[in-house]
Formats: sequence, structure tokens, C-alpha cells
Amino acid sequence: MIRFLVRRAAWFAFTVWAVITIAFFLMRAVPGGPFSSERRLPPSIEAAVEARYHLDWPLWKQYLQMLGPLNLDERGWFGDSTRVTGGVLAADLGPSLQHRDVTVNEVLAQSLPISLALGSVALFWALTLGLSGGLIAALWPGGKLDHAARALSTLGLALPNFVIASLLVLSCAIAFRLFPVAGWGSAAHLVLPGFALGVPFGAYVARLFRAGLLEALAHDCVRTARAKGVPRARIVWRHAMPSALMPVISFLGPAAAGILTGSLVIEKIFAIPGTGSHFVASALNRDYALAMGVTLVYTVLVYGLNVLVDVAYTLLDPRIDLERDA
Amino acid sequence: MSREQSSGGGWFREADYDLMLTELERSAPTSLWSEVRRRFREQRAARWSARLLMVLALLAFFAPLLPLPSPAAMRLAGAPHAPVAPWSEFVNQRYEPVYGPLGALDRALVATRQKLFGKTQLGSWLGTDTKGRDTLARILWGSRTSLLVALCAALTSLSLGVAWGALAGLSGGRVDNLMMRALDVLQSIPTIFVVIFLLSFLNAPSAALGGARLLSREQVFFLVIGAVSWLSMARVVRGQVLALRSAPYVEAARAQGASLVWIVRKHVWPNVLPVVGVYVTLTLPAVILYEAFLSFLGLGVEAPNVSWGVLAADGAEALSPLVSSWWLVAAPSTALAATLLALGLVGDGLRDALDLRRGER
Repeated sequence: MIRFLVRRAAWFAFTVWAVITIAFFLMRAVPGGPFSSERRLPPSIEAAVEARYHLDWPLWKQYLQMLGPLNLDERGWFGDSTRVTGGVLAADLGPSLQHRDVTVNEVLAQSLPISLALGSVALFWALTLGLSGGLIAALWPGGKLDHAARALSTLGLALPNFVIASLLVLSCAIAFRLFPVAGWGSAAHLVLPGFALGVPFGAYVARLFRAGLLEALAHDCVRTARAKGVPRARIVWRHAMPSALMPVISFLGPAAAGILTGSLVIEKIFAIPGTGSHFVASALNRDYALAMGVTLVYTVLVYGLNVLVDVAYTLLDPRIDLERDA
Repeated sequence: MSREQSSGGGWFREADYDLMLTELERSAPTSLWSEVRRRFREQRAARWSARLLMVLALLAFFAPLLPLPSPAAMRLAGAPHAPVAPWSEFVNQRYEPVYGPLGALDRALVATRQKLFGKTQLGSWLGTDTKGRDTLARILWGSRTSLLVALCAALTSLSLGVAWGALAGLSGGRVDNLMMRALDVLQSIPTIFVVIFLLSFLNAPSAALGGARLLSREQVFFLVIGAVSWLSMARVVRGQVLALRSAPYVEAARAQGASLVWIVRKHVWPNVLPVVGVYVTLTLPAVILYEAFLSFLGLGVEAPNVSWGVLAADGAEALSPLVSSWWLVAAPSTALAATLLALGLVGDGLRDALDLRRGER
């Protein structure tokens, strides 16, 4: 396990570096700059603004400055120490180019907890709906409940989530006034957006879990257990559940990264100040620093969750040896 | 054996031989694909879904030819109009040609329509939107975009994804490792970034062409969606190829001195194809939804062009407790849901026909 984690950590460092590099050069290759869309500034002011964000430097210097805590300026590698330069390695992403007087770290510190809270609620809904639906469908395959669960999961997969969200708002918030229409602040604000965000994932989980359970229940060990007179609940719990959970987990690992960093659509509909909107806004506004920040968060989450998936595999299936497969 | 088997004194008669012969012919070894086709046709849901999709594709292609109102013609007075039943107003004479930029083929189709039907158009069976544009016409015209997006993405993930996955799986070792790490990296970049940057990159007027654009906005959009939808396909294909490479019969073929080309053509390719086919049916719904998502964010197709995503987003926006124009949500959502459901059922049917997963019933 230790060796596995060390190896994965090394690959993690490589992946993050590669993503940063690609994202950096991709952003700079795209036409338009962070200040090109605004009213034309006088050249002297534009130069001053660009100097403030080091946009006047050559590209390689900007790259190094973004990467590490090197103190670069005109006078050489370690020049004027009053000009503090951060960098990814120092966990300082610098000032945001679009939101004046705010650093990217501050933007993320403010919006990430919100998205994480929303994402956790959505994950909760996805797991509750998905696992219970899949379980019910698999216990009575071909029955009425199975058909109902399959129809619901198909609907959940086929409707865009903004349609689901609008219908929820109309029914639960406006017609029945159960929950607030939009906004952020209390636990009640979490319910509807969390549900709308979680439903499509729950629908997919239900399908995966149903298929996995049916496959697992056809195994020989299940037949033997039944012949021995093991109660049905115990058979499902002990023998079928672990292997049926594996496809669910391998789907939810990467999907959770998307859920936790927030959904642009859901945050837009419910007016939630999470990270989701920053993904689009920073890319559209060429806010290089903020775009790098959200990319970094996303990459770390994707990678971390994938490692968790691998670890969960060993817990569910003792045959899997991470040391060997790593 | 429909005829009675009692063949008198124990000896076979002439008729029995005929019977046995037809039986034999029927059970003669058929090719894999005719067998698959037969098993696919045996499933009612999949068969009907396939038909539905075919009808939809035809409707989408011939939408300009149908006696529909123009998708961009507005009738602002009293909009949005509620749906009118076909039996109360089957057709009316209010047709006026308002179209966005059309290709040569579509222009010809529209011209034919005008010659055939003149001023006649169908009534607003599905109502009109807040600007008084006919919902049915917009759904059919929108299906052109949505289905074309799906088709483009399918083609990209077929060509790029299969090539990448097959190459990685066949090379194995270090090359495989490297190609998979590249996929890891690409998958770690948020898709929306890639989409936005590619869109603005490709949409910028290129200096080499004298300020003109190489591709139209729509073509760029299709390309970009395709470019972000091949990653999982590559993974799936690679996994399948790896599994096949170490299959005993492939090893036997190699031991007998079969060349790589032979092995790929005879053993790997036919066995990868089913997985690819099933996976395409999974990719299509995802891509159609992704188009809806991008259109909701305003990154998708631009007016006067429509897509199902645009329609659903407009409908969701028009949804308010004061004016209940439910048809604006219901109609595009039903179209989306029905299409995705049909695609899913075809995928399930294909998987069952190919017997990829016996466990799932």
C-alpha cells in the first residue's frame, strides 16, 4: 500500500505539472487578453496594468513565475525581494486579473467551501436515490418496482439538469413554498440545488448498481450460500454488495470531482456563489490566474478521487493487489 | 418439425428427407453479423427504438421540405400561443419564409417546399414560444443540429478514440503507458476550458486567410464537441485490445506464425467492434446532453439556428408561475428524452444481441 501511494504521488506530481503547462500555454495561445475586451486604455496605463500582472514579461519568464516561488524580475533571478511572486509550488496563485484587489486564493477560499457543501448534498442524493433504486430493482427483477425504477432512472438520465431544476423550483419552491427559490445561506437553500445536481448521477448509479447486483447474485457463491440457508438479506449484504459496488465506485470517483467543484448550470439557476461559475467566467475573460486556480483544484480532486477509488477496490475485493498492479 | 414425426414403419420417407434438409439449412452456421441482426430484431423495444430513430433522422433531414412554418418567423401578437389541436386547425395560409443562412442543399429543399405547398403551413400544434415562433418547426429544425452534433462526436470518437486505444493496446509496454498517461492528463483538464479555448481559438479570424474564417461557427462547434468526446472511447478500446492480446487463441495464432496484420484483422478487430458499437450508443446521449449544457451557458449554437438544448434552455427560462407556458419545456424535453431513451434501448439491444454481458437482464 505504501509503495502504491508513493508511486501514485509521483505520478500525481507529473500530472499536475503537465496539466499546468498545457493549461498555461493553451491560455496564452488563445487570441485576446484579460484587458482587451474593455474600453481602450491609454497606452501608458495599459503598460502599467500589464506590468502589475507581469504580462509584459517574456512567456518563459511568466511560466516560471507562475510555477514556483522564484523571485524574478528585470534584474535577474533573485532581484528585488519586495516584489513578492508566488507560484503554484508556494500555493500562492497570485492576484486575479478580473476581480480587482482580490487574490485567486481568496476567491477559491470563498467559493470552494460553498461548492463542496453543495456537492456533498448532491452526492448524498445521488447515493441514496441510486443505491436504493438499484437495490429495489435488482431484488425483484422484472417486477413492477423494477420497471418503475428503470423508467425513473431513464428519465433522470435523459432530462437536462436545468429542466429538472426549473421543474423543481416551480413545484417545490413556488407552488408549495417548501424551500427557498434561490440564494445561499441556510441549510434549506441546499436541498433543491443538491437534489437537481444529484439526480442524473443517481440515475446512472441506479443502473450500474442494478446490473452489478444481478451479476453478483448469479455467482456460484450466492447459490451455495442459499443452499446453506443463509438469509436473503445477509446474502445481498455480504456476498453481492461488495462486487456490485465496484462499478458504482469507479463511476463516482471521477464524477465526484465534477460534482464537488460545482455545476455551472445549477449554480446559475439557484444563484449560488460557488466555483462553478468561475470555470466559465475565468476562461471567457482570460483571467489567467483564476483559470489556473480552478484547473488546479479540479485536477487535484480528479486525481485524489481516482486514488481513493483504487484504495476502495482493495477493500471491496481482496484479490486486487495494488503493489503489483500499480 | 411441424409435420408429424410418425414415419410409418420406421423408415424415412421422401418427405422426411425434405424436412430434414430444410431443418439443416435453417440451422446451418450463419455469419456472426446475421446472427447478431437476428437477435437484435427479436427484441421488441430495441427494434421499435431503432425505427423511431430512423424516422427522426428522416424528419430531421427533410425538415425544410415539410409544410412547417419557418422556424424563425415570429408572430408576436399574443405570443406565446398555446398548442392548438390538429383537428381544430390543421393548416393555415400564414406561411412566410424567414430562415437563417442556409446551405445549398437546404436552400433547394426550402425552394421545393415553397413550390409544393405555397402559403400553406401546419397549424401551431405544439404552440409557439415567447416570440411567437412555431415550436414544432423549431423542434424539427433543432433536431438537425442536435443529431448532427451527436453524429460528429460519434465519428470523432470512432476515428480518434479507436485509433488511440488500439494503438496503445497493441503496442503495449512503454508506449501504452505513455499514451495512457497522456489521456490521464487530458482528462484532468476541465472539459469546459478546452471547449471555450478551442471555440475562441477556431472562431478567431485567421490571418492566413485574409481575415476570413476557415470554418463556420457551427462547424467549429461540432469539431470541438467531437474533440472532447473521444477520451473514454480510447480507454475502452485499449482495455479490450489488451484483454484480446493475451487471449489463448490469439497466442495460438501468434505461435503459428500469424502476422500482426492478420491477427488484428481476424481476431482483434471483430472482437473490438461490438464494444465500440455499444459504447457509441452511450456516447451519443452524453453528447446530445452536453450540447444542451453548452447552449444553456450561451456557448452553443447562435440564433437564428436552434438546437434542442437551446429550446429546452429557452423553455426553462420561460417557466414562471405567472405565465404557464408548459409546452415550451414539455415539447423539447419530450423530444430529448424520447431520443435518448431510444438510443439507450438500441444500445441495450445491441449489447444483448452481441451477448456482451450475460449477467444483465
